[in-house]
Amino acid sequence: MKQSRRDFLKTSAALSAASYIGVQLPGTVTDVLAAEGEAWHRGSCRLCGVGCRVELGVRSGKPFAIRGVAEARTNRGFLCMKGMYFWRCIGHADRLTHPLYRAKKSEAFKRISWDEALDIAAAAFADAVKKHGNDAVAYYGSGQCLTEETYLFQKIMRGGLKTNNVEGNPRLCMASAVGGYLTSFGADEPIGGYSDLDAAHCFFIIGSNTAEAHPVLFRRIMRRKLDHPDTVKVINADPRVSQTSRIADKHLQFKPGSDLSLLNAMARVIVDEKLYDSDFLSNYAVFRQGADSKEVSFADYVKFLEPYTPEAAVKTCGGNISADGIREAARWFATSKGTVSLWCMGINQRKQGVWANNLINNLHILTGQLCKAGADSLSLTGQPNACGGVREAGGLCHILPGHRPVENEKMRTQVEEAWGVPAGRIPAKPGLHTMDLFTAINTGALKAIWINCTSPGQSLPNCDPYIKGMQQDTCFIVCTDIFPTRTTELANLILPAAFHFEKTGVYGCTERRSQLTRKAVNAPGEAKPEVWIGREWAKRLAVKLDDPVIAHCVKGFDKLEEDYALPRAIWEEYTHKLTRGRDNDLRGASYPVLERMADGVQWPSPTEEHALTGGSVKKFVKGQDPLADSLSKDDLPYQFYGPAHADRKLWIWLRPQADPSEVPDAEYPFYLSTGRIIDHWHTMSMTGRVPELLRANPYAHVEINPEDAKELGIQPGDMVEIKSRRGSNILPAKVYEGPMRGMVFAYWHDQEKSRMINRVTKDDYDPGSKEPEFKICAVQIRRVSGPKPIEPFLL
Amino acid sequence: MKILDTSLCCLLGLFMLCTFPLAAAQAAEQGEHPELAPDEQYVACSQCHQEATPEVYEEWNSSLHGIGMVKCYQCHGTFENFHVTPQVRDCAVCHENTEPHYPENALCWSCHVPHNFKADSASGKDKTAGAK
Repeated sequence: MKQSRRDFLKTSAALSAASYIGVQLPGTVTDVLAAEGEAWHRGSCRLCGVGCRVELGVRSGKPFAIRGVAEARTNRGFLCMKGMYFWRCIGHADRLTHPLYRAKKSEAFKRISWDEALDIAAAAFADAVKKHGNDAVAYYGSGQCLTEETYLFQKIMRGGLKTNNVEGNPRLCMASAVGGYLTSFGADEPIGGYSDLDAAHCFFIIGSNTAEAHPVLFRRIMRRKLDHPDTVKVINADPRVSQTSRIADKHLQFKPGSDLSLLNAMARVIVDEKLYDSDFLSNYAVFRQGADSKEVSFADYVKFLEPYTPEAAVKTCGGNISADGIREAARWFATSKGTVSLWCMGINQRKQGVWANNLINNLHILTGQLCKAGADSLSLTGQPNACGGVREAGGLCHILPGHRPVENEKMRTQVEEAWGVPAGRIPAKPGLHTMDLFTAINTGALKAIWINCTSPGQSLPNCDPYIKGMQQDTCFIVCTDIFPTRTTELANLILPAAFHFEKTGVYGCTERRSQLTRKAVNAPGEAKPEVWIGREWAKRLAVKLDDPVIAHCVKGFDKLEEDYALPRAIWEEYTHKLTRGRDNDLRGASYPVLERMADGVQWPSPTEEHALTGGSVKKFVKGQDPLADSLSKDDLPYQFYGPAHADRKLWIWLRPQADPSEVPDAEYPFYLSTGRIIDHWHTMSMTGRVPELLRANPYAHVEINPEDAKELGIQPGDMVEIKSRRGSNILPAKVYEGPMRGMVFAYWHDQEKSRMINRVTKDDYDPGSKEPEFKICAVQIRRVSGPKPIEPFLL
Repeated sequence: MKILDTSLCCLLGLFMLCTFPLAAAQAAEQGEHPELAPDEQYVACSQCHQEATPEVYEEWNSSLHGIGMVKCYQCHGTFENFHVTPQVRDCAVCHENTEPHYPENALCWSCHVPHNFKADSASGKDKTAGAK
């Protein structure tokens, strides 16, 4: 009988042991196979928006490895290094394990009990509400919270504390993509998903370093390209040459912020050469312009595009843009059997983020590169649960669970009735968006904020004034987190949270796929799951404000065991009462169904039967999306029933070139852009604690084009000052044929103050999405000294 | 795409290997990494090895692992848990359920030769094109 793979691996482990010389330390990756007394627990990766499925190996209650799940449709068993190692955070010596409190921010923290901590948190919020009104308090959550956590906290804030001051860090990363999808397609989140990567014939990767930010998806694109080198084309559009460019047939390098012209120029070529899909346009699309979304004609669109010739784009974009290059890119895009666009922060974190999203979506609508296999306009989500938790379950100030705009009275009434709270409980106006929220702390208007699983003290653009604001005693700050950060050091109350696999809950990834992670190990010390923390806090708030409605918000969850029954009850309420009849209908994706799946369920999936097949691979397509069938209005195969477009059409937007908020001038002559690198996640509070990852990128660098470096007398490793109108950093230089001339690129993971690049970035934001323009501002560059010994830094 | 970097630590690594070839060779033979001071360890593996072992670096960089950014430490560990020869179980973190295609009792790298990982030509099959 042929050996099974598992047997082979066991045998070969014995064979290779003889050749293995080295110390078997706790935490190596060498023990991937099951042995006696070991168990493997399935869940999702804790890091990026890909949604890799993993299994955590546990022996005697302690984790020892992670492996990929081969059957998962997200990652097919593959992992990046962050996915391999994040389990090291479980049981790490630096974990927060007890509640910590100080009345004033100048005092040292003291350890207190949970009883005292919850009382203090409730008193602080209750006092703020009594003295200053309901909008004097806020919740700021995260795309890394479980959906159950986000849903519960926003219910307590809206239904309980009667405020829409509910925000999350996806405002800083995905809000423009949300705005783009809503205005282009009438509904948030991609129409297709990862299965399109394996069938695509053209990839248009713009404003994304997929190789480092979504490595396991990049692997699929790389494989598709390398297996079909002649028939699959890859276009990489980025002012910076990155690791992603290695598989590109064409790299389009343009001045930061000029990509609106580039995208319009591609549309111009498509129109001029009649490469658009007339049938698709006449069946499914309209053209719109202006703040009042006025409908215009195709002829108006053609006229609008007149200035955007490829030759004009060459002048606007600079870089290596050529007219022929634009023509070729447009032809590849339009004529391929299936084109997938992918983008991330280079497009979203912009003053014109929504417009840039619209212009990418425009190309897909124009050419009919949508809805069919191998074609999609695929916004890459940065965080593991920005979609599932924040965008879908009501985690932003202007939307209620189930993609309901808060300003719509009918929508508010639906939610109030689902919650059993009195009519009018949820305020009619949106709350403060993130930048206004932290500005309100600066002015003293906001008196209490709960910050959950995120570090605005490092991640806000132009962070210094906001750090200063949070240092004031005028705002009481509660932080739930697992490690000390640049934000816990600004708090009054630090509550230790359970980490991934120490609690149960759902993450919803980039491709509308909800996946469950069950608790596998105990949290250290007194750390607790956030759903327990929120529930207990709400009960005390109800007493302190003498408001039984607050208690009612958590009544259905009271006394439920916190490891499974509690999150399951929250998920059931959310999916059955709040997604029923909505475009993100998740009723079929119950915990028992999610537990049976190797991966998860793509919504919409109203029934368990449909969910067990994996859900809707494509939205809006009859036969694949049950809502496209049930909401069908005609015989056409695609039904665009998205809640934001009453006309059920896709909208092609006439969006002109518009400059970034701050561009180089004589005084500040360089563009600064910032971003992540593969080994680190965000503010490195997790990845910085894994020696393998820390040593790969121990501190931030600034990448400088070799020609600029030569002119400025900068050698590799030299210390360089980057200075803007707001602040400065001193970083070691990487002289690298990455950023184009006139541009530098800095990594943002470093916690050390002199290397924290958000002290330099600008906090202007998109007027529609309110997402800040992290990606572009103007700086001076100056050599400070030769190389200096640098220590990595972790709080 | 070569990262142009002749930083101090790289030079130091090269200097050590030039000045102490015997010590380095002995260390490698014993499956150990040549000893570096703590601050010298804060340099990415590829940065030194681009200069110190350029053929290995180039092979890896051109391979699917290189393009896909599967880095040295994922197979070889870091300094405290360094191993020249990974275990098959290290491959299995990502490749555990690869469709069985191997000769019995062969180790992964006896066909998928490091660091380009193309199947050995003697086996008669190039797996990299079809393998997932």
